[in-house]
Amino acid sequence: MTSLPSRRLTQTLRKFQDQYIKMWPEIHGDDFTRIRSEISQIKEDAVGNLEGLADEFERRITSRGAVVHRARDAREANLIIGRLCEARKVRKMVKSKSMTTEEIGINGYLEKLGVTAVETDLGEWIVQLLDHRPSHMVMPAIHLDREEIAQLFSRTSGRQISSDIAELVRVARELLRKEFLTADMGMTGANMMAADQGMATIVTNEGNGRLVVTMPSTHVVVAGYEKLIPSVRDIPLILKGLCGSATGRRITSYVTMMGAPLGGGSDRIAGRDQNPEMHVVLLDAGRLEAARGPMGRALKCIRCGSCANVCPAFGQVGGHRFAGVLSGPIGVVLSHVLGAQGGGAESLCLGCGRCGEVCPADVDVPSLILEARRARKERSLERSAVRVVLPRPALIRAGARTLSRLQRLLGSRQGWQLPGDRRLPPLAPVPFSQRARSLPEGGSGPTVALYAGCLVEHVFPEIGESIWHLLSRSGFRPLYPAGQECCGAPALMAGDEASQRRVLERNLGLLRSLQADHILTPCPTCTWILRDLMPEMVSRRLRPEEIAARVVDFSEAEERLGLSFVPAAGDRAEEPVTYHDSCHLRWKLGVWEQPRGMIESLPGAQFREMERADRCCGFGGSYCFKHPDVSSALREEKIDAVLAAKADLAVSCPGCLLHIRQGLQERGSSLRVEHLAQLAFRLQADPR
Amino acid sequence: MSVMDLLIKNMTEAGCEVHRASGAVAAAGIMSEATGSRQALMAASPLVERVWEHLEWEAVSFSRAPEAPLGLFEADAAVAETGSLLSFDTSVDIRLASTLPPEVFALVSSRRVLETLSQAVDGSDSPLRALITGPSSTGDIENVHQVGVHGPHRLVVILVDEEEAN
Repeated sequence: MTSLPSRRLTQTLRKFQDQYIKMWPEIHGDDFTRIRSEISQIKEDAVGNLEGLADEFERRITSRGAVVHRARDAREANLIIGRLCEARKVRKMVKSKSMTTEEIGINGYLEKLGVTAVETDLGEWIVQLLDHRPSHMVMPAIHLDREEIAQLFSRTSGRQISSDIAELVRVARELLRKEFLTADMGMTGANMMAADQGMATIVTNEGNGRLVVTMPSTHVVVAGYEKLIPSVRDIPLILKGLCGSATGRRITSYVTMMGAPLGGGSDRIAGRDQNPEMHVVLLDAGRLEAARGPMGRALKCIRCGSCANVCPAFGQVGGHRFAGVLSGPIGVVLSHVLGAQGGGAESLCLGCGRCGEVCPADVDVPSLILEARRARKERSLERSAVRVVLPRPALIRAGARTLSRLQRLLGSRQGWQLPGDRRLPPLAPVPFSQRARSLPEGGSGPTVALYAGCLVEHVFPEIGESIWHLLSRSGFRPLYPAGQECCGAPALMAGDEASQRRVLERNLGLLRSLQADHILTPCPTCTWILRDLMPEMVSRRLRPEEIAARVVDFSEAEERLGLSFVPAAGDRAEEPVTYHDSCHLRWKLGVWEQPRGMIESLPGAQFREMERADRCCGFGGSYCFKHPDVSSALREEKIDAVLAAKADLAVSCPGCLLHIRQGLQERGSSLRVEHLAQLAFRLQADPR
Repeated sequence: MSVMDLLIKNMTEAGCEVHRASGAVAAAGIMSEATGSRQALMAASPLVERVWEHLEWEAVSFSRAPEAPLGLFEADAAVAETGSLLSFDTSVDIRLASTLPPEVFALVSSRRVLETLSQAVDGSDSPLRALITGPSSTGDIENVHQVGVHGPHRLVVILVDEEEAN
């Protein structure tokens, strides 16, 4: 379980995320898909040839007087740098921001050798003074507010400093200026290392990078192999993706491409001879092996931070908890891939898919996180439960029956409150599979197999009934595939590929034998799994694509099936209805216009858009049991938006429905929340 | 939009003050109007020297570079696509003059305007290619944008039309 950090951090992150998400389409425009696929190609090629590029890079840059050191791991990198410091009697080093130097722990290592390493990137310097870890890839001190920073600066300077941000920045400039002027060595990372011309490139806004490279006589670049790119010609494109995603601007204030020793500024000022040196420490630390492995594509990351900026979990817990080598979603993946400490935060991922949508290098972070979970063969309660329970549908049915009876016996109409803000919903006395047996036959049109999913089966059978009647009225012939099982989502999220495959294969066999024209599901997670994942997971022999192609989510049914709505006779006051985008429907399936269109075409409903409609409600399946605080915090924000919209709520996902309804009840609100199918059915003409 | 117009638009959006001068004399006039400083840390170049002739200012010696209130240098080119200055200075003077002082004036020949970033990045084999876009800034404190950090808080760009090519 995660404990949430301070309210202030959450508020700062939330404000930042709101701004970021709003600005994102303005920055990226229509070009994004093309740009990111080009960046992806460049980085993919690079990851496939890191050692070749390293050799070329080394050749070029050493021909101009730089020295390249290859470090197998962090220990070796530190030794190399330590020796450089000792040989040059370095007492003070100034650093421009480098997550790689964080990774190897160079500051602590040098401290023991009597070398002071001073961070000069404002955010990094602040966290250094406080002995915090950076909480975000691009804004390391985002977890602090101006008051805390003013107190820190007052302590550091011995003066009373106000919390006016302009003054804080002026004070930082003044205090750090001294360090630049008296440093013996400058250390930077590199965002891109172009092999064809041997140029290491850094990007900053503050100007500290330029001073770190210019003032001291020795400059050390520390960079992982994955920073290598084939050519300087790739730089403008990567800058487009990087700067836009990281800062919301076309380009940062300073982009410095360096291919030779460039220091000596302090010598110039002192009138001394300038003999600048440049050393490049190229770090492996698991990268070369990772590049050859199944998750090597994680190394395409260009360090923009956009995945963290849109991640709902990150927005609640920040980078200290959602942490690894870097913070945020990709950070957790890279931790795992590089075999670094600090992994294990993969469980914080809700599986919403939003990060994959915004990555300018087209890294499919959501899948990588699932792969990381799969690879961590830990024994967890969740995995054991999945492995034992999922292959036993009879056990699931019996368990649900028993629980439901128990709930009725104890009069628990609201379900059961469990420790830690978790809740077990009230299970339906008669599950959908049973009700389906007595539902009327329907029309003579195309057949539609209704794949209900677990929540409709056990908790909301009325959604299944609504859909059945809507289909019948439109002339379809609904069918219930008896014996249908869970789509396997819990197995997917727990990283149990084998259990998922087996349950999908059984479902596939059942659906195929039914030979229905269409397969309709009221749950976007089921839709996504049956349509997109099943073909990749089950044997090709079973020809899954044929079934997958027929899967339709209820939210798309108007357009894809031609489901029609008959207006009720007589005048009906229009009720305002707003809509919440479920993550899987929005980000995995790319559907958001049709459900809104459906509400608009319903007689009696007046559609109203709410704020932050596409933000995660926090349900996440078993997530609300694993991380109830994050889950509840996200729900609170969602409910704020629903209440502000002053409208009833329609949703496309039974999971969101369950979660949001519970939240509204807890808030004492009487606003109605229902599944789109229930709304549609309710506003239909009564059957004659 | 012409390349020049695009350059001026993008530079202005990036936070620069942009002027056009018909020659060295005009450039000097613009500089004297634009600032109250009369001292500058000057990175020598033919264009800088031509403009300096018409300024009755004191040159700050490099031994006092950290105290200079104003820096003056010539950029090798300007890039319209991003509103950037491009500099190849492998000796330190330009970097000191363009980064240390709080106010920085950049001269660039109006003939050296490149259209795209690709032309800037790939158009030379200099071992230093530095792009400067606007004054220095940060968002590190509460994500509030603040201009003027370790680099200058004010960047004035003067595009100089010249008769003689260089």
